[in-house]
Amino acid sequence: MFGYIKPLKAELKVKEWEVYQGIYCGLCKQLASRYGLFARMTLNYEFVFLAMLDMALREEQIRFCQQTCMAHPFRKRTCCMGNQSLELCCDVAMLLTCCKLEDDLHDEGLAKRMAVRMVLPFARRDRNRAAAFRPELAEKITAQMKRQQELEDRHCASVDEAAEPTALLMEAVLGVLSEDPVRKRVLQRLGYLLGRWVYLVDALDDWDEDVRQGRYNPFAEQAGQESAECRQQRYQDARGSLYLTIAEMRKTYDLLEIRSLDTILENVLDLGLRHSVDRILEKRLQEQQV
Amino acid sequence: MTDPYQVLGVSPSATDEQIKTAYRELARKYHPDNYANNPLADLAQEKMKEINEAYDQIQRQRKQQQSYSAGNGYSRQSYGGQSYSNQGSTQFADIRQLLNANRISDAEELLEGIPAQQRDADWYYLRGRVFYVRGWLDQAYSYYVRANQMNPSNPEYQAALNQLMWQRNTGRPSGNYGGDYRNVQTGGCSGCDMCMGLMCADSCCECMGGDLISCC
Repeated sequence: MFGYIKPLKAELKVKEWEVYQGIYCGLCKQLASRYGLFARMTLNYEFVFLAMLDMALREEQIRFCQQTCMAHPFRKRTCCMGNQSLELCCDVAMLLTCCKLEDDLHDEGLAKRMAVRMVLPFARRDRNRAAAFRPELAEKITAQMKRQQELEDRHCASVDEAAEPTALLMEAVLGVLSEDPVRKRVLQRLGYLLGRWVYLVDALDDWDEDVRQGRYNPFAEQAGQESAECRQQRYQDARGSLYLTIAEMRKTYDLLEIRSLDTILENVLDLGLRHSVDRILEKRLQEQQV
Repeated sequence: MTDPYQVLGVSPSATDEQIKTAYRELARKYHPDNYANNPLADLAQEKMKEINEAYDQIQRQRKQQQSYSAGNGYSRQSYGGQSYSNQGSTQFADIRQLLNANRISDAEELLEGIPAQQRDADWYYLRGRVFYVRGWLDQAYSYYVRANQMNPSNPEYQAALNQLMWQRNTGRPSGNYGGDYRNVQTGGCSGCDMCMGLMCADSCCECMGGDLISCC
């Protein structure tokens, strides 16, 4: 559905794709059973990645079953059965989604704000339930989202600084995936880089739209007023930034020595992430030419 | 003691060639150069040690079984890290020590305390290292660029900048890294490739009336 952290499907083996789909389905089912129908709509690829990472670290057997679902009523699909990894991802999804919605309340236009107001009570209820499951994480997430808002309000012109709250947020999330101190260090750095990347790729995607709507965008802020040629250079710089982050993520991931689901995770890190960046830049360039 | 075959990711019945390839792959991945200045460098170093020990152990075991005739040595190049002698000004030796001990905030504080007139290439390099460890990769890059501009002949600054530039351009870890996802490139030229190449070039040259290598 939504998301930037996904595999390059064309380079996955069929069995790997089915495993990936299965985990996606499993997450959807878990969201519905743990939180309800609304929660299902929050599903995105980033949480599937998180679920895979957690399952890979636990090295427990992942069980699948055949189930039908609302979105695909005609054929049974492989679905991952509920486990602790999926539960964790659901909780994180609820915590983050509510924050995102409250963020939208600030930034978006009137129509969107009204839509957000309608779903907010459900999101808040779910967020409170998730916070009951994971109180420390909830606190950290709220703190970082607040910091993010402050940064944007004062029009921070440093890309690194602007990305930091999201980076620290994901650092906290990935940090809970292991109690082993060595693994925790690695996971925290991976989380930091992951959060940074997600924030930046989102900013890259929304760059032009944000400028049009007069919203904050770290790349736009750093660029200032510029001509079209300079804009090209800025896109290349942004790409370099994102690519650098991806490379650092790969190096960090290597230190986890993951053996389960490794081919899918490596597909995401080696191919999927760059593909997301390239796709966005292609779109940008096409729009420029029009 | 962990199974050395498991460490290298090969089966105990793997051929010597497969073991060598697996070792090379891993050594390239966890090479200290890839993790220079990285906050997790110590973990990479441990992993490197583990890999070397596993390879050595397998070599010893197989020699004992005498299943391999002498000739193509198992000689492994020690993939040690390149340590650059501190060619920067020694006024920052204490800051370097802090960085090596992962005391980033202290290093940062000291660096920021240096007045503007004393901020030379080494200062910019070390400031860049602090940013790198913190994850502020854009700042790290621009400070490394500055350090190189101020002192283009320093290999330490060059190495740091090159690593980041490579990663910015390719989205991959440093140049030593083994091949694309699933397309493991068997890297580079071997001695045979070089020799064949020269012989071909010489033949072609002689066909055209010249002589590239006069002795053959």
